Amino acid sequence: MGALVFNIFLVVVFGGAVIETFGWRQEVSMFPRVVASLGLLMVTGQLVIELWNRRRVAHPAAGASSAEGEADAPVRIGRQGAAWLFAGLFCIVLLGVPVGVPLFVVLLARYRFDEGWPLAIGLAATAVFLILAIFGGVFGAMWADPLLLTLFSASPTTENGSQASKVRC
Amino acid sequence: MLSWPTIGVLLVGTLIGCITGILPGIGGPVTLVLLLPVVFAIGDPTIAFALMLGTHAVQNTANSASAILLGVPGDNAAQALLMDGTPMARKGEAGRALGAAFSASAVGGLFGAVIFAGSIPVVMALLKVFGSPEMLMLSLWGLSMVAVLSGEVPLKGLAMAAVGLLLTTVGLDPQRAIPRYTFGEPYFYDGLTLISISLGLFAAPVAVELIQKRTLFTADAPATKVSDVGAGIRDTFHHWPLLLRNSALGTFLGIIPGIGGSVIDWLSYGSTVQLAKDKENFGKGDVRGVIGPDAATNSKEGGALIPTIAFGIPGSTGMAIMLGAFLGLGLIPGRVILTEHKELLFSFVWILAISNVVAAILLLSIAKHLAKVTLVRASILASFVFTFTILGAYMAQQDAMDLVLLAGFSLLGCIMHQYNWPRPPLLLGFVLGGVLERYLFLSFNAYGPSWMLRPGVIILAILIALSMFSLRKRGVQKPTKEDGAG
Repeated sequence: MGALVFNIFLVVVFGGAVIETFGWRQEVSMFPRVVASLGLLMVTGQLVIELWNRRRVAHPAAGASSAEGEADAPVRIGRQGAAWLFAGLFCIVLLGVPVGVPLFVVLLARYRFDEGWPLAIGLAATAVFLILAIFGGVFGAMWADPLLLTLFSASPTTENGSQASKVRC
Repeated sequence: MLSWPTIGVLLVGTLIGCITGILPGIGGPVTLVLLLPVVFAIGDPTIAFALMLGTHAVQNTANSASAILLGVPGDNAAQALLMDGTPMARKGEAGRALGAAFSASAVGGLFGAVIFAGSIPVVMALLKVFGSPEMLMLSLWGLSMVAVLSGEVPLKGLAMAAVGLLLTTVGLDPQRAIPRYTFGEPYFYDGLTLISISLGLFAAPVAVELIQKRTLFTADAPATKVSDVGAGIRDTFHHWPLLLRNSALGTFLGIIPGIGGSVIDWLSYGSTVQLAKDKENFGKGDVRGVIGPDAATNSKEGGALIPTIAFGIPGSTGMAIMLGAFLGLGLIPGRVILTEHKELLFSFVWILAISNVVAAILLLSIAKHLAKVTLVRASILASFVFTFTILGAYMAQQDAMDLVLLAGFSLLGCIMHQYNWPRPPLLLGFVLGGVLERYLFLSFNAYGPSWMLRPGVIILAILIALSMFSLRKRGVQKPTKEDGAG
């Protein structure tokens, strides 16, 4: 079912992309319109194949073999793994990179991998070193304010209004 | 040509390549993707490619270790080593197998570097007769590699290439600076970044898998002892005709876009067995079954650089990422890079040569301890993959939106992985989309629709059709882990 939903999602995306190009000038719209139209054609074709295969699997008498039905079997991305990853990403957006990444690394090592506190803290310290010393110090990264701070503080906004300020580490 | 800090960065790259090459599932495209932000931050092309190419060039050498010692290939390009390398380790000749593999890889890598250097003048002469329409066709040839990277789902691969092409159009139009698909959000005016897309598509699913399994791919492999590395080195040079023959074979196959590492690996193993007088020991632990494939898989890198640099035709995911790095650093493949950056090209030769020699020396000297490296704790690896993924994505524009974009592409990567939609075509489409649109615009502006009737265009169109037909007919389209398909 998920495969079907994803396929329909792609049809909607390509369809929307084609429609969007109609408001643009000819020379600007040519390339995206051609690409989006071809994409729409292909994902629609894939959707038809998907539906046809499902029908054949559902009605074996119509000529489907079990092998054919299994050919496109999903790989199974672990739900817990995915949940941890996306929770981590959310945590980092919320708390910012310098705080969010080490915190998540500690939680991951301690509660997912069942490591002891010394290793968990060591990994977090390594992450802090990479963030502040290597990426911040050597490569001059500027860290955006965490979403949490932006939401609950009255900091002045920058020209594009997307974030309050950036802290150089 | 190569001076400090380039040499230092090259050594760091070689070390990274050795470590990540040994770890199954981490080497190849994932490492290159994780290095992209560092490469862009460095800015200087010579230093940046010392890191990137130094890492990439030695991974084939290093991934022999896990195949021989544990029976778990670092990537699909080391699969043929399971035939003779693993049996050698099982009967107590792990050191000899490692010695043969590393030394054969070093010679193969050097061979590829020499051929790459020799090909530059020939390719430059060829490019002088090419205009925008021909370059457009060459870009299309590059895009036709989707046929190879799509595996057994060509329609899905083509659709994903279209997604990649469409993603390149996000942002201000390069000709008129009119916003396209930006939804009024200024963040998108500069377009999407290769880093966010590639990290989301490739690194995030690896992180998810590590977090889910809580163990490495090598966790169930039996322990093995390593000794007598010198015998393996002597074996390599004793079988020098095999060494040179397979190095030449690997370089030649590497030049042909679309022949992945796994195909070269098996073809070279097949030819090794076929041309051997006594065949009875193959499959039971014959050292020639280690030397042949290892020389070929490493020599292919020099060959594979030729179409990537000269024509913008990447034949694998690794080369597509490399091409993305070229474009990100403002180096346009083709005439520009061949005429205006000759020094850089010759530095590639040195990078290939030095990294292969250093990797061989390094790996040979630590051969006895390699088995331990492959058993690094999953928690450590997962933490590093996660941290580098986040930092890599954030360095794109240093905006909180980078992380939101990463989350979006991570979700897309996981869904694509889950439902067998090939990821490399999307990356290839994204890498080549900007080049295609630019040459299309230039061709129409300069020649009108008649550009399609130019002899060079027609010849290249026929060649593209023939290559796509032959690639699919030969069945090289099977997705490989190295290519990152699926």
